Amino acid sequence: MSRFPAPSLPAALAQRLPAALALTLLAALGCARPPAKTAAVTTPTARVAAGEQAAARAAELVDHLALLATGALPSAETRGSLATAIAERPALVEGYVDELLARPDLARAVAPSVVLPSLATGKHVQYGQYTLKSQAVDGGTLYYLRAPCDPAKAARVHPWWALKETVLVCPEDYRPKNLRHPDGWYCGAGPEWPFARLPEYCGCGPNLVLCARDAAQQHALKESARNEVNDTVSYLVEHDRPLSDIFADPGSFRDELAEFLYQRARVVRGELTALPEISWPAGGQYAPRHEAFPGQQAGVLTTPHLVWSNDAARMRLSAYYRMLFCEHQDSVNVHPDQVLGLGVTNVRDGEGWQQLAAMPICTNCHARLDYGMQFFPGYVATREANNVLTPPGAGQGHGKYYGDDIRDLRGEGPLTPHAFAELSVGQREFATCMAERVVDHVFNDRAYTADKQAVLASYRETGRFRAMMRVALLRYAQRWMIGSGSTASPGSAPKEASAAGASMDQVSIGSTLRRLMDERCVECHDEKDLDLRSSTLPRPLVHKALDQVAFGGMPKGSGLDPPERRAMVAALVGALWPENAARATALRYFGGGLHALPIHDPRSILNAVRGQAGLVPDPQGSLRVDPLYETQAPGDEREYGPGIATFVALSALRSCKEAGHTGVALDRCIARATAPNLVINAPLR
Amino acid sequence: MWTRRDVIKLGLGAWLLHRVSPRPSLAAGRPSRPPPRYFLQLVLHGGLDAVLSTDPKTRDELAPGVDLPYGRKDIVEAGALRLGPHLRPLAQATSRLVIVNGVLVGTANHTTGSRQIMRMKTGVDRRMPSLLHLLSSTRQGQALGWISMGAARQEFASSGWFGAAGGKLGSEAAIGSLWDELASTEPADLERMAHALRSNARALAGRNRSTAESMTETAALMERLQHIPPFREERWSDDPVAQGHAAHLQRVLWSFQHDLVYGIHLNAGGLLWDTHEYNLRRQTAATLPLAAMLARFFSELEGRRNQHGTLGDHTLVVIGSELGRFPRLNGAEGKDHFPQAPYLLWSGRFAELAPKGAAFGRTGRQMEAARISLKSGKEGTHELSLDDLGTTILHWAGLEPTAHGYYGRVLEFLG
Repeated sequence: MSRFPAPSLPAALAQRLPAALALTLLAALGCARPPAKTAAVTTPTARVAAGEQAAARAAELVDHLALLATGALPSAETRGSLATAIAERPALVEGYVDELLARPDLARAVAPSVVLPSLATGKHVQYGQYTLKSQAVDGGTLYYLRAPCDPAKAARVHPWWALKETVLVCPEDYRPKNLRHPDGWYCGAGPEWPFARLPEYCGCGPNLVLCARDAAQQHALKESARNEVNDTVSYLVEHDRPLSDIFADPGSFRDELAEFLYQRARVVRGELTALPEISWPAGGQYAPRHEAFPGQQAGVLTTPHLVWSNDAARMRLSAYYRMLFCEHQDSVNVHPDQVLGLGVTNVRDGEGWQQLAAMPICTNCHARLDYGMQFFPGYVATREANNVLTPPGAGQGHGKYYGDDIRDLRGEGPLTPHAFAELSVGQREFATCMAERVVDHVFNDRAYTADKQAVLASYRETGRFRAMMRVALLRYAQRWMIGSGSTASPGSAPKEASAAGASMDQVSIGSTLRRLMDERCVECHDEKDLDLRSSTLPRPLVHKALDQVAFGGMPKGSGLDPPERRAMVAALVGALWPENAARATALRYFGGGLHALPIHDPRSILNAVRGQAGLVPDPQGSLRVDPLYETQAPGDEREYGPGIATFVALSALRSCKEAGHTGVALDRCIARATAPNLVINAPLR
Repeated sequence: MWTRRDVIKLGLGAWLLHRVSPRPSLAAGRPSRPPPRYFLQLVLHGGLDAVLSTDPKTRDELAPGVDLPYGRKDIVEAGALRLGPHLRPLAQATSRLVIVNGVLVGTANHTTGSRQIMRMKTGVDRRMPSLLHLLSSTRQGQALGWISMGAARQEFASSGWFGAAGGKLGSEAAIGSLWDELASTEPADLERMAHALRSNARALAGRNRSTAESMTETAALMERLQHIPPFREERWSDDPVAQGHAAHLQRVLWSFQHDLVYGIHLNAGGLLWDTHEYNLRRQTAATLPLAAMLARFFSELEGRRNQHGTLGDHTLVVIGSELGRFPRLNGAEGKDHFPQAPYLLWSGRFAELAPKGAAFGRTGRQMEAARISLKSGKEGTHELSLDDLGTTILHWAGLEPTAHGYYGRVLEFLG
């Protein structure tokens, strides 16, 4: 059951539901019909066997689509009836996908981890909130931070968590006037951070806004702040709002505690002398946030959880670009002489940012980062404050927005977070990133160029998560029904390429490799300092090419489809290693042979395991999913490693016991629940 | 103005120039000693400050303005080593300890650096297997290939992963809840799970070798855990930070002693050494407690045995950061990033090379790396890089470096 007000189904989708059953999947995709694998089968027995195989494959597809779209398995009845129907009429998949995408689970269970991987279950962050201790005294409870005091000398304060009541607080731990130290830093932060989090100067402040009542409330505050990010994504996806709103809309979905964090900031920066009464629905709501200046709020970017996840402005921007552009920021080929040659010592968070942004090599990241930082006035380093400040003139300036480097001016706008967000979501990198996230979730690392292009086209047309997922899932279904070899091994390297001309320093380029390079490489690499057209190439250069092709660095642009990449890697390996043993080793390494098969999101895996044990999903399950790296990883990095094997086995053991199995029945249940076919996101038949 | 293309060309040109020399493993021949049986990679995440630890200097050895917050008397002369004040606790544990200063890491960014240190090479992609994953293919009977402990982060992940993400030192997720879950599981249930995983592995064996191996590794771990004493944390220190390190290091010892795992990646603290503010104070707080626990850890390695002999004789420990600290203080009394870092290595293979410790690598008046000789580790013509360390370690393990994408040079001075 969704906690959000139920949105009406998008009109187009609602109309499509009944009509979908009459459409053909292949026509909808504009694809060729799957190969007629059963064409040669003529006997009745063989026809029955083929039919059973098709039904089994369809049943697995029904399960996997549900896991991808809702994070849980369908009911046994749904699976049974749909599998038979889809095996006979593949076009029915479209209706099933639409039905799955109309469920609130898409927004609640799936969207946050797809749109913001690593954040959906990311760690809590520090908000500079001190935790009070307490003891019972005559007349109530005495609160203190450092040591108990004489209750008779305690101050009576209206605490932020119950403004109409009063509590006793030791005077030296109250300090309502001490919000900003004479040295300039604010309580909640300070020079002792992060070692000693309670500077001598500081107390809880007015209404105790800098303190949590106890550890439980401290935890609840962090949980609420993190939930604000997830719930904002869920709300906007559930209401079929554009993905750009997640990063740019002034509102957010939050509960009362998360709202308190915004109000607390107003008190700390002196905008208010006391905390206002907060009237908030128990389950939270989507609402605008207070702005100290127009344009201060920008979707999840200005939520306390994301703002304070990083300790300095540049780090924060780096994280934002990773979120917005899927940018896996690289800093390579940096030499100490270059850094020393900058001639500045405050390169991270102060002087020299404009110089850094324009310097060769540095500019590739720092033009974007450092000019981007200027759009966030008052979003300071955690050593200065743990609340957003409002420096003089905030929101009044005008700034530049850069892309690849200092020569790549992409736009200008008011120096506000909202303007930054609006500029960002308009970039091509944002569109590509959103498409990439959906593709990675559905296909892991096995997407074809056409899959990426189709999902990207959907984003450009609609801007909506649900529409992109629809395109991706239908392509996934088509691939599944065709039964393409998505669990293919690295293959073998052709020997012919390594024969004539090979030497210690030069590598002979055989005909297969020559053709692949001509098709994919020489369009760019045809100049004298990097010319791949020759019939022999320097061995180090071929090593470099192999490194780049094998792990996706090259070719740029549309990239290679998995089979084509495997073929090129095999050809390069064959050219470099004439000996069988070394060739096999290299092929396993460069050909992806050290990677296990791709898996679903661990939350979905847990639900699948529970489903196999006969249980319903349990979002508060006893086995924690959060610490698993695979829960936070982008889809193309999720694979069946030993950690996942352990997680699956433990989940199965617990679930089967919870279902009441013992003895032989328990063994059977564990065998069923650990079966890899619902963990691995690829056909295993 | 340089374009991105110019930079790529420059990088490639430099790379080519650097690599046209004879191939490392061919030049170095076969490794002369048996490969290490156990491997610990201890990451001091954020950036160990060399001048305070591995590469102490006196004022007259440094250019004006380069930070030096201590005097000549604070430098620790220990065996053949000269240690900075933060490594004072290691003064009594210098046997088999090798310091390599001035290693170029080619990055000033934690994300790139973290991915690099997992692979001990530069120019990496996040999909490349980690060095530990590669090395673990040489294991002989250990249940698991490699595990991650400590404050793991996404950048430290790689194929073959077993461990936790997130979690701070000493917190419940620090070791990895899976490990703890297994430890508290009844032997009969461990057997049940192992049986199911082995059955699944057999079914998948012809389909995908790595997936099947993940299952069999895990099953082997579950089977072994049934027959060994559970891990029990000992008190090594009254300092909670030091004891947090001790808990991890004891878990490492327990894992190696019971032959549970080939390699362990241990992140000693999420960006604990990232000291952009109050460098001296924070580096002190980060390094000193760890150094004290490392001294104890090294002595435990030398004292503990299993069926294969003394752990110290079979273990290689590599300690270091993904990047270094800039030699001058910034406006917050901190130090920013520097694309150069020191590394500490401890191994039984250094018994002859470094009976009282040994230091290699050179740095100049601005702490910048100077070129060295591959044979002596002293003055020479080679720019020492992270690739060289990774290549050397692969070479020691008997793996062909270039077939695994490692193009550095074998450091002959390390033996």
